Formats: sequence, structure tokens, C-alpha cells
Amino acid sequence: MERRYFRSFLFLLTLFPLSVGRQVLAKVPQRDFASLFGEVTSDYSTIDRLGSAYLAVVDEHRLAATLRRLRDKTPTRIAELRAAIAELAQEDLARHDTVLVDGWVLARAEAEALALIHIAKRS
Amino acid sequence: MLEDLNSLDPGQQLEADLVIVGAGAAGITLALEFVGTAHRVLLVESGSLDGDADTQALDQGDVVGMAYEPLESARARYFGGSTNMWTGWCRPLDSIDLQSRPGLGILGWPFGSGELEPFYRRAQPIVDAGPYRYSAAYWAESVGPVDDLSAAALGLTFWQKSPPVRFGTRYLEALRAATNVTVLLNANLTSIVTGSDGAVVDGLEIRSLAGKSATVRGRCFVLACGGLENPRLLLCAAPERPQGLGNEHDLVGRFFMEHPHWDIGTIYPSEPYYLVDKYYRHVSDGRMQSAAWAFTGPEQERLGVSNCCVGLGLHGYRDDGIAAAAKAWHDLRHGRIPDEIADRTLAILGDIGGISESIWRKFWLHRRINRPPEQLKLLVVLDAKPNPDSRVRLGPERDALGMPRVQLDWRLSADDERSMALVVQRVAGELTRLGDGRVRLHPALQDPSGGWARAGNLAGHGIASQAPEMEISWHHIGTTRMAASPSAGVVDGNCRVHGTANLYVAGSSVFPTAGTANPTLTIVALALRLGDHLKQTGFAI
Repeated sequence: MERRYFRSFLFLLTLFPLSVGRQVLAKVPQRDFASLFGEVTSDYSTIDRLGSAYLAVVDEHRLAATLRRLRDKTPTRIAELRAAIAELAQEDLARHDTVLVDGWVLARAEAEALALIHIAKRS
Repeated sequence: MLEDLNSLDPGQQLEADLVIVGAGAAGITLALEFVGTAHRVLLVESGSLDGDADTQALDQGDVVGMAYEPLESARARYFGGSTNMWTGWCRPLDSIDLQSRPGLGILGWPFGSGELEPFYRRAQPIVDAGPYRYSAAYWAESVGPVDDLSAAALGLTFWQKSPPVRFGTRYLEALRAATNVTVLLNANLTSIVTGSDGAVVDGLEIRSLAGKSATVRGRCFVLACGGLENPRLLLCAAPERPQGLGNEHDLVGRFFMEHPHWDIGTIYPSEPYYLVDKYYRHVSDGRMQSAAWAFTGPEQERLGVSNCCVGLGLHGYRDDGIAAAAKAWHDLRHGRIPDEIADRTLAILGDIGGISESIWRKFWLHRRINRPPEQLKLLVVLDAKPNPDSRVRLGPERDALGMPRVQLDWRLSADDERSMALVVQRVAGELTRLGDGRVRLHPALQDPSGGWARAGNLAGHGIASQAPEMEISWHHIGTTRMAASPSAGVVDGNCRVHGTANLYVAGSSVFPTAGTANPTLTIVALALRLGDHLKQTGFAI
């Protein structure tokens, strides 16, 4: 393709999508913990890896306490359970209660939930 | 007036009211304060107007503690001093940096931040770093509202950037034209002549590398040679005081501090531009600005940690349609047909939105970052706990002038690692809580007692280590620190060497604490303060 045609093509490309670009800019960026939490709990290999890593160091009494906190939220469906875990995790983050699992900074409740899911998958 | 020791008659005796040794940021600032006054000032500089290898070699020394860059590469030994290699970043110390913190074993400064404030304001135009505004409100004026992390006891601290001002270039003419100031080049201090009790400095012996020598007599003397050279000279240059001037309590050279920093983690941002727009470097009022998070003062007290800070770095850009368009544009500008046209065109067509956004950001919003970063770095800067075992000594080797070379034994502590780990984890937790992104920290932080900072894994030195790589800042701080009592410091609150009547020290070697602020602005502020003090005393002994 001749150079000038390619230049024109490129120029048109940049002009044409201004409307598209403005739509992109008009998007409100998704910035909330719930969406981050959704990402980490949607990938089973991540759950397994992080869950097993945290199991190696977790205090069992703490795990039991988290189970009780979850039960108190009375979730009846998977979506409600996920929301309940996210809620506990937000509470922990607000208290600066974080743990390092394989280098990842997680709310403690997040890490415990991943450990519990890993246990459930194993059994 | 400009003179060269090599051009003077042999054995000449020079006289001045104020003799300043070292023409870096501190020495030049102090000399400028006396331009046009009735006092004669002699500014003695080891090097010439430009650097040369032989003079620079005088800065060679040994590194026996944690790894460090070669000492002669860490300083610039010619007119202008280390401002010749200065990056330009400026920030005043925080209030907590000057406070005494007995719980941490930190001796504070002998005055509070209120004392320094007017001198910072005077220093700001000297370093040409924009308006003296270092509040979060000023930052928000250019980036818009930022997240309120006060509930997490985190605050935003930030820097402004000098062009940078090379003091040797910017202020040479003012000093050359001053009739009461003589700048003497190629003159190295080899001896501080005192009375038998060492209390009064009568004069200096100076020599050039070419062998010319002279004697300097004065009423008042200031060492302004930097954090490695100031203690070296105090330790070895006074034959009447073999243990060193100001060293009755073996403090000269101790408490060496730096501003090492680490790439300690990776942020996977949920929205590519939010964090860089809000917290990464940008230009405002014609000056580059940069920001970092740190614990508030009360939180530092509660946790028993120092004032370390955490900031962002870039980790490269996504390889996508924008990259393809940029490469194509680059080829076209250089008269080439872009290669891999088909692949590039498809990538461009598949990322029209991103390309549009990039063009919009660059040409309309004037954003510095107009390509989405793939990841961001989390960087931590240490505010070191003053450690008496981290020190500068005299080494066994001698330099070309026959004087002992410096030996650096730099050390960090477990408290330093704890301070950094806590603030890093808090910032990471907040970024997660706000949904800004996921953070993965270096595996070494998994083991708090692992000594990851003390490992001293200096970047680029091929040190086999699992510890994160460390970079230094070439800041040499604390080695002749200020304290009201000679049992706690080398100089008093006016920077006068304890046990002497007319010898002072200027520069970052007098800082009792390092904070995380780059030292140049404080160096200039303290030099202005010393100048005011000397004018008030009239050099009276």
C-alpha cells in the first residue's frame, strides 16, 4: 500500500472514532472492591492456589469464626454467599485486617473464604 | 571574584572573615547570603568549574557495610558540588521528621518545623521549584479530588521538581561579580589549624593536586563538603585533635542515613488511568510534581514506625492497538512503510476506542500518561531509624593528598523493615478496598523477620539474593548530626561544632533524621538559617 494512502487511512481512523472515543471517556470507571472480589473468586485455579497457600498458615479457630460470621449473614444462594463474603472482606479492609497470600494483599475474610472453598472442593 | 590555587604564588596566605569549604548547594547558598556585605568571604572548592578524574578520585573510599555504589560516583567534586548530578526533587521535611521520638530511639532536631518554615520559603526560589505550596490541596488543584484515606491514617505527601538548578552554573556569575567574595578553585582542605585546646580554629592549610599550597586565616569557618566528606575532615584534618574535632563522644561519622527505595510490589489496576492520573507524576505550574502516601504522624506514633512513604511507578504499557498505532506513526515519520501492516491494522481497528482516548488525553487533556499502563509498581522509600553503627570512618588507604580515605559502613535495622512493611501493606489494603486494583507484594515481605532490606540487594550489582532490589538516592545524611548536647551530637542547634568556638558545618550531614524528603531544599534552608545566625553574631567568638 502506498505510503500516502496509509497515512490518509490512519488519519481517517483517528477522526472517525472521536464519537466512539467520547463514549469511552464518558464511561465511569469501575472502581469498587466488589468487582475486584468477583474477579478473584471466579477463577477456580486462583481459588485453589490461594486457598491452599492460606490454609498452610491459617489459624483454625479464626476459620471457624469466619464461618460463623458468614452463617450469620444467612445466605441462601451462591450470589448471596458471595455478597456476604465481600461484605466481611470490606469490613476487614476497613479495619486494615489484611494478609499476604502468595504475595497478594487480601482481606483476611477473603483469604479465609478462599481456604474454605478450597477445603470444600477437596472433600 | 574567581581564583585558582594553582595560579597563586606558592605559600600564599589568604584572609577572610568567613571561610566556606565546599561549593555545593550549602556553600554557594551561604556565600550568596554575604554578597554585598562588609564581610570578606572565601569559598574554597576542591575542584574546578568542570569535573576532572583526578579530583574526583579524591572521593574514592571503601564500602564495608551494606552494598553501595562506588563512593566517587556518588558525589560530584567540582564547583556546584552534587547539584551537578541532582535530579531536582524538592520537598520540606514533615513536622514529625523533626520530633523527638523516644519510643523509637529517635533524637529529634533541636528545633521544630516552625523554625525552619521561613527558611524553606526563602529556599524555594533558590532551587527554583515552583511556588512554596506543599499541601494536599495544591496537589488536588491539578489532579482533581483525591481519595480521602484519612480513615486509614494515610496522608498524601508530595514533591515539586527543580529544572534542576545546577548551582555552579546558575550562581557562578553572581559570585564572580561580588567584590567581597572570592571563589578559590582547585583548593583542597588538608589541615584545620587550631590552638592547643582545639577550641578556636585559627586557619586552614589548603593544597592543590598540582602541589600548590596556601594558608587561609579567618574568623569563622564552615565545612560544607557533604555527608561523607564533612566527617572525614573532622576526623583527620586537625593534628591538634587526633581523635577528631567535635568527636569527644565518638559521634563524628555515626548515624549515616540514605534514602534507599525498593520496587516492592505490583498493582494490577482495575481502571488503567485512574491511579496514574491521581497519584503519578504530572506537570503543574510548569513544574513536575510527584506524590506518595505515608502514615499520619499520630499513626506513626501509635504503631511505633518511622515516616516511610509509598508511591507509584510505571511498569510498561499494554501491547495493544495504541502500541501498534504508535509504532506505525513512528515508522511513517521516519519515511518507512510500517512493517507487519496487516497485523498492525487489525490491532488498530480492534482498539479504536483506546486510540481515540489516547489522542484525547495527549492533545486535549495534556495528560502525561496517555497509554494505558499494563501494571503499576508500588515503590517504598525508607525513612531510616538513626543507627549509631551505620557510620563513616577513616579507611586504611590514603588519597593523592596523603589524607585517609573515607570508609562507609552503612547499616539498616529490623525496625526499618517493619516501618516499610506496615505502610506498604496499609496502602495496598486501601487500594484494594477502594477497588483501585489488586496488589501483589514481593515474596520477601511474606517473612517479616527475613531481613529483606538489610540484605542490601543493590540493583545492577548482580548480588545473588531473593530480596527485592534496592536503589539508593545518593543522599548522605546524619554523619555530623545536630544536638543540643555534645554527648548526643556533633554540632549544636546553630550548626557550630561542639567544643569549638568558630567552626560550623553545613549540609545534610547535620540532619538528626532523614525523613523521606530529598535533602536539597532543607540543605539550602539550613544554609540560609546559618547565614542569618552568622550575620547576627558578627562572627564573634
